[in-house]
Amino acid sequence: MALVALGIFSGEAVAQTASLPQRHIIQIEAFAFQPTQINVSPGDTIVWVNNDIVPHFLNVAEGQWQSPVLEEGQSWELMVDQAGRYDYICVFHPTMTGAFATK
Amino acid sequence: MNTFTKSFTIFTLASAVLVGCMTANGPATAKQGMGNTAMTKVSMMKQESTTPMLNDLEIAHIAYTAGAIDIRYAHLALALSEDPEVRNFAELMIRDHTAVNNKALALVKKLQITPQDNAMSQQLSQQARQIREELSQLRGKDLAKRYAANELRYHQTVNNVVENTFIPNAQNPELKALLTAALQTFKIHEGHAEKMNEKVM
Repeated sequence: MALVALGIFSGEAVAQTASLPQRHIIQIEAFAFQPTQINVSPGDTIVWVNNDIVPHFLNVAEGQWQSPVLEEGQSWELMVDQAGRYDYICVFHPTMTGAFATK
Repeated sequence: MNTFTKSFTIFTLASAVLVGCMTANGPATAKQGMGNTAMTKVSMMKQESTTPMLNDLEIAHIAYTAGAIDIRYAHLALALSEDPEVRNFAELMIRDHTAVNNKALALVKKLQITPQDNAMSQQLSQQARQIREELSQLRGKDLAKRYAANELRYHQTVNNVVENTFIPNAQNPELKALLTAALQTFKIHEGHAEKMNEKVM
């Protein structure tokens, strides 16, 4: 109902609501990223949460961004506003890979 | 009664393999590993009647000891080897096994219990001393190969015991959960060790 009302009385308000930045949570668990791949919008924030008992260390887009060392229970946030596809790995455990696309 | 104190009979196969593989000499390629496993099955049969009863406290002690041993191997490798594969792996071992052992210490503190030293822990430590002595005499490629081979064998062996003996028989649910999480870590290490072996050959 609220969205309908906004649509009727303020088209601009609807557009602004739709473009609100989102937070996307990626769980690090059992040496894997869940979900492994996601699509996000420019300005969204991605949050990686380490649920493993050992530390992880993320390298995004071949060094364009790097997390701090994430101990168990720690998280890292990254806001990306440039369109593109970004692959990332855990530097400590390179078999752990993931990707996100911004468009 | 705290389930942590309940005792159980450890599977003879696992304990014999654990001890038997630690005594293996020489590089541990996959092929050689199979041969040694066959030999330890024989020794297992001989030891069947003398396998000790182990409780959770002893399992915790063995698991912690196994991690500490691998950390010491890693420190030795970092001190003696310039091989980047060896050094990366050694740093991973120090980082991950320290994290796992710190979790174990936290659990021990929480439960207010004291892990019990036992014959298997002592045997592990004794064999580790011999392997460290052997490693310390090597340099260059020989050291890299021997370290890599030992790490692969060690993780194969420990993983087998943790998966097939410790986890099924651990009585305390928190210990069981920690062993399960640790096994995930150690299996990743085993995969890394396989790759390291391929690269240092």
